[in-house]
Amino acid sequence: MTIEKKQIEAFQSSVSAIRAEIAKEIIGQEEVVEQLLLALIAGGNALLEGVPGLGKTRLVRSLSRVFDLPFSRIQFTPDLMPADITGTNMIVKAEDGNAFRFRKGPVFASIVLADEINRATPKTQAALLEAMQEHAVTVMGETYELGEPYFVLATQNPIEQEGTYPLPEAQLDRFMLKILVPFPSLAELGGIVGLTTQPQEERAQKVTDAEGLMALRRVAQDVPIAQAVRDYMLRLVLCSHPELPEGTELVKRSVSCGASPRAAQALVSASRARALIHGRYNVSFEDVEAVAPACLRHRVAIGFEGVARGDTADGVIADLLAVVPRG
Amino acid sequence: MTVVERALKPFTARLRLVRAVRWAAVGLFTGAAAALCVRAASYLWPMPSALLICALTALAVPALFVLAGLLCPYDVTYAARMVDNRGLEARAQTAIMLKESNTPMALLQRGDTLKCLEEADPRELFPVKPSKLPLLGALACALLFGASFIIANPQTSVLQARAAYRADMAKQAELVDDAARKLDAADPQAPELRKLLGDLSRELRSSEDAKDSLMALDRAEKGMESMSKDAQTDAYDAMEKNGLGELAKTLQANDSQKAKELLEKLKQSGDDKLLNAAAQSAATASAKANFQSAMQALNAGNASQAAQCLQNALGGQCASMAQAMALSCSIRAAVAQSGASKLAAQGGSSAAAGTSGTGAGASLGSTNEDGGYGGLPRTSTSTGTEKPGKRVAEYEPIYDPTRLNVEGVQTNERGKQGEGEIIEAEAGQGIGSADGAVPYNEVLAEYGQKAVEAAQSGELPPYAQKWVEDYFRLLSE
Repeated sequence: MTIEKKQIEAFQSSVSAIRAEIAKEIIGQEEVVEQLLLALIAGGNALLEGVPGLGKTRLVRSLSRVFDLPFSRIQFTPDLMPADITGTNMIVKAEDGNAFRFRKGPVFASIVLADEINRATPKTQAALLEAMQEHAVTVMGETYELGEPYFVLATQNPIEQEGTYPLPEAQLDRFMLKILVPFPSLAELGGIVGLTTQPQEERAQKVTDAEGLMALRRVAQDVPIAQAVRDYMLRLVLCSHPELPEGTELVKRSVSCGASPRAAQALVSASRARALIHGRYNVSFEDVEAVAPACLRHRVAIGFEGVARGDTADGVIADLLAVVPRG
Repeated sequence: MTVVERALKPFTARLRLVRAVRWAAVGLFTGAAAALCVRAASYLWPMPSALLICALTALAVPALFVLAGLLCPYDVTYAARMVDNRGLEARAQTAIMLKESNTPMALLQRGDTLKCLEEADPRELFPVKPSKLPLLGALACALLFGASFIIANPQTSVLQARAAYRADMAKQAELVDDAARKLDAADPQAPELRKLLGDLSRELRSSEDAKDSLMALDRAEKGMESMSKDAQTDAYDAMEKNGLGELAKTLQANDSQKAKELLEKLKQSGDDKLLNAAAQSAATASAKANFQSAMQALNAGNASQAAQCLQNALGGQCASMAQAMALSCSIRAAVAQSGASKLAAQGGSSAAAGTSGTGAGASLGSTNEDGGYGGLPRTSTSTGTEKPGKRVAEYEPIYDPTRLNVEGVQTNERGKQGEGEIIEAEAGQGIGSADGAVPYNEVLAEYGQKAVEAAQSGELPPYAQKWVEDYFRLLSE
């Protein structure tokens, strides 16, 4: 499908309008909102990590309202079963007797909020894998398409790790971005308190719909990337591997497993979306550097020695960005 | 050229300027360092125009660097990358990548890039700032260069001595030119002698030191000796072929009375036409001329003069040749004197020893290759060297080409033909070293004796013989 000039030119105004609507319900957190939009426009899933009460669920709800998309929320608990998510076949009475009918689970929505995803058992977490990657669900040998657009926005709590099941690498890799939700500043906290302790008059309104979101995605996919910038992204991924000669000193010392090829795909897609959001028609090195932490932090596994030394994934990524040459 | 490449042109030009300035600083340092090296080298080796070379190096190297910086083309992709690094956020590189594309996105990207390029000021993006490090390096080199003038250059005296030597040789060359001009045109050996003298004059002018000059003199003298030898052989053969063999032998034995008698006998018997026949069969012009003069003198009844003419023919020399030989001797003496004064100017520095030092009387050392005919007196010399280390420090070493051999082989040259008297003269033992440098006091007596003998046995005019004698006497005093 050919992208028209007016679609490209409308991209920025659409994004501005979306941000304005979200700002009615979310105070501050511009960076988080932008990264969430990047994931939506780039067509990837996002994992939000932050302490309770930072508005993660509210933000996702706002997004669904702005895009006018079907939204479902799953509160992950240790006793949650896969069928509770995907849906199950139930015996129903029909004219010709009893029959099995598939009852769709909460995963059948356009925006799925998997709240506190690390509280469910790995079996239940794994039920989301197919939905996240293939945008389809298979129950009793039958596959059900989830439709487009489809996003899983999961949240997890970095504290209270007792009784949780850390997401396995394979599932983490399915998330395009891992977004850290920071604690608000004093002014932002004041705004949040003011907004949430009074009767809410303004709510986020619909700006666009599923078709509009798909159009935004198509436009973003068309953004060109200079060879030097593309090479830089690939070098970043290669250099995160301790077993490769390109690996940096810190990576070789602290990282047990480097970023997967999905990381390179995520860098490309997220950088494209960011370039357009920032009013540019090409990807720059700055775009790559801005999205790299969110794209790589959950894909770079810190090894035992790294943990012992106090190294973090974000520290390793910062080192990669400082060490890897641009061209 | 695409529209983006055109828009990048001012930036490319600016980048060239920035590069030229940066390279100029590097060039200044390189030039200053090179000049310093030349200056240092001038302390080790005599360099006639060291300061000029230093100045040219210090100026030319930065100029070359600047030219290279300005003229070397810039790859447009590189220029785009440089511009992007200064705030254009990969716009230029992407635009160049999409130059063939006309999709709406490519067109928008190109328009955005052109707008940004238009707004950007090349002078602000790429300020001209020479790097400080090379400039500091150049300054340090310049200071060192200036400081080097505090230390006296030992090669200056060498250069001055060389210049004086060249001036001396130019004067000698003028004398040679003058002598060549004054050669008797009627003399049959004159053209060839003139050529020899011309060569000698040219070589003297281009000679750097006494060694060159002596070698030039050796060549000239060998040429003259060769001419003389040819004439001798030719005269002797012509006389023998025409039945005048006995007369020739008598003349070679310097028995002038008997020769006069033989000539008178020839005239009385009417065989004086044999002289004419000998003149016709002689190949060299000087022999022909001497035979004809002898015949004329005999016809005029002057047998003594005829004998003298025939003696001249067998001696292979004419007046011009004698003059040239005398001139050569005098130049050799002058060369020796200049060489000695040069050594004195150098203060006996070890660098000059063995290469520039010359000694008096070296001429005879080069004349020991005669393959003469029997009957004519020949001199032979011994050549060789002593073991090194026997050099006497009080005396300047001189260059002696006959003493280049380490082993000191003694060579005796004999006459190869004929029945004439053979005289061997063995003079001295081989001394010196492998580079041919010997203390002059060790060879002075030998050289002097040989030079005086040679002067007296040849056709040197008396005044020239006296020069040779006086020269060696003065040297030994």
